Amino acid sequence: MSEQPNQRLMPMGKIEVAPRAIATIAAQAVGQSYGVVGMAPSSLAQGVAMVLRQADAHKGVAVRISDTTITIDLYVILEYGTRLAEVARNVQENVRYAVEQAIGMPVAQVNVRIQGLRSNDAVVK
Amino acid sequence: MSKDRHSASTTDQLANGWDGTQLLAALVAASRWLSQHAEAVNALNVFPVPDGDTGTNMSLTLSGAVQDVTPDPSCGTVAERVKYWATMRGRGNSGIILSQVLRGFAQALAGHDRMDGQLLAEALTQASATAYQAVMKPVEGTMLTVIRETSEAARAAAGPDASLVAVLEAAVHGAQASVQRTPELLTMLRDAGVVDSGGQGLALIFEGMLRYARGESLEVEQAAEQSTAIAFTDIHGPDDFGYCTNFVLQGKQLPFDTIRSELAAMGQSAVIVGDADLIKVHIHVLRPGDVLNYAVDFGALTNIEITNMDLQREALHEQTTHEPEVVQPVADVGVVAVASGAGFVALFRSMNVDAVVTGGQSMNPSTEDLLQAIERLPQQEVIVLPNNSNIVMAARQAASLSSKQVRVVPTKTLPQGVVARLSFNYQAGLEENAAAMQEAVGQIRTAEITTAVRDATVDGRQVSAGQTIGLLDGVLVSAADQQTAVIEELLEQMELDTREIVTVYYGQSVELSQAEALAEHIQAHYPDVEVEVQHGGQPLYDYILSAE
Repeated sequence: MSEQPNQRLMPMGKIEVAPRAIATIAAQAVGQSYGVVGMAPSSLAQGVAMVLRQADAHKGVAVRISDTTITIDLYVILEYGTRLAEVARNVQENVRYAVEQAIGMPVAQVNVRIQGLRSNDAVVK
Repeated sequence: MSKDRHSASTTDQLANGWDGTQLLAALVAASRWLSQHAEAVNALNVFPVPDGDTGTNMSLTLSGAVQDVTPDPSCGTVAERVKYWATMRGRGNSGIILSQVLRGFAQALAGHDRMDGQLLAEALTQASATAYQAVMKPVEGTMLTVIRETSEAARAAAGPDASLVAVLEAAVHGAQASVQRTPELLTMLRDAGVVDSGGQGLALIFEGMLRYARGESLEVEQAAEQSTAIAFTDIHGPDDFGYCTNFVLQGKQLPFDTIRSELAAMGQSAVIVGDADLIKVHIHVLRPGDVLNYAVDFGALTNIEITNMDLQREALHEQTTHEPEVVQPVADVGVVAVASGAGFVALFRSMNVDAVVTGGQSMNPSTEDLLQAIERLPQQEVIVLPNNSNIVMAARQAASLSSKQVRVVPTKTLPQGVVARLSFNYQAGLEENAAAMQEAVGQIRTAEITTAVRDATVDGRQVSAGQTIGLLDGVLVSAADQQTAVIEELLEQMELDTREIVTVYYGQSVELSQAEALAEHIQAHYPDVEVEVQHGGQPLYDYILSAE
């Protein structure tokens, strides 16, 4: 089959999922992942990690579709003091599961790029 | 058992407040209590999202948090050390949340030598706040809800005269009640008929602490052995050789970075964590003596454990071959079936299906779940029975990704899957079996009876929420306020005069006696058919009827 991984031929015609739609689903799953406190823009080249507003969270997701695979890059800000490797691993699993569930197509890679940490040790009284 | 019981005077002391040593003992007790129940907590894990196993993850996180902490008279110091190790050793999503809970707990106890009821309530409140900080969109009906409601219950009980035990009791009751409410907040839990696994784990931790305070027994032994086996398979691959060397180095003002880099250079798979007072080392070396000699120059060594990995792997390998999960293949063609409901799962297992993937209407298994089930089978040729129209696509996707020869027989209902399996020929090959199953599926009719969750117009029919609806082979054919009217109409359309056997699979929310009454009713109206009653245990659908 020569179709791309985000397209499939169905009896009634072709179904195609736009990268932007995949990014929105991924951002949603990141938002519910424990340990992630924000997303940073994927296009930001400079060092400063800016936190995206909830509505713009999809801008922290880069979706690449090649001939055979879907790759998702996530630009995230994590909570300081958590075990980052484990949080990142949980994020990978959540995102892969959510995207595959929603679009019914396999995701080859989910890369978590930690852009910053937020320390929030405010003590409540 | 009597060994675990404190004398009456100690119990009285424990009721009013704890010092650091007692706090640590309470957390160790909680860890033991949790590890004893880890399997039961794992069983609650309904999310198809692979979070490993919640019970195992939380238990290993907590035991990892307390095992290397040395007793100290100050609660603040003990809480700080427990927090440190919990952060270093947090496993899985639930383990990370638990480490944040302990982090908040330590923040509140900082600088306090003793903890009374008032301080416990404050610490739980801070634990809840810290846990909520680390997520953008907290999902209610999870561990987060349970820690928040636990802290609220503790605060309500923490008057000026309240003892530590009184506040802890209130916290345990609050936690247990909160766990019971989780299905009301999270549909996925309600559909599966379970409570939240992470929340249950938290409740067990508080129960363990209360048991310590009251001097009640904590019988465990086996669980601890099990967790070491898990840890071994986790960190050791098939290529490791030599001696796995573990020890704890204690000293004063240890040059941690130097020690870490020099030790790491001496072997493989080094995991070295710690600070200036305490360093925990795990490393694979050919000559364990060299590592120990190097370290002992800096301080005292404790918990030294050296294992020959070649022998250990052999022993582990022997164990796993005895595990019941490795089902002996009964045919050259393997069968993977998707099923929801305890009855259906048991039914497929009893028919020697090689793998049952749980899932169905409300929680579809992912392509990956199905692919893993296919790849795990010893056979090279596999047939998949999705047993739900929503899962057919994922099954086809899994088939195309698999390295094996896979055929999907697109069964849309559970009874279709059952007859497909029954037509399986143990001597025949892949194509022949797939064709025979497909043919068998075409010969039965399935009726499903459920309740409409919202107003809708489906297939030209007006349906209002709360009405009973009936589907015949996936198509809505009947909707009415009375369940009996729907069943009558379905039976009529199933053309029972031309059928021989009718099977009534009754769901999770139906009693056997009700199902038997329905069976009698069918028998009375259609005396020529044979009626069978089976426990399906399926969620959402009160009854699934099949006619063949």
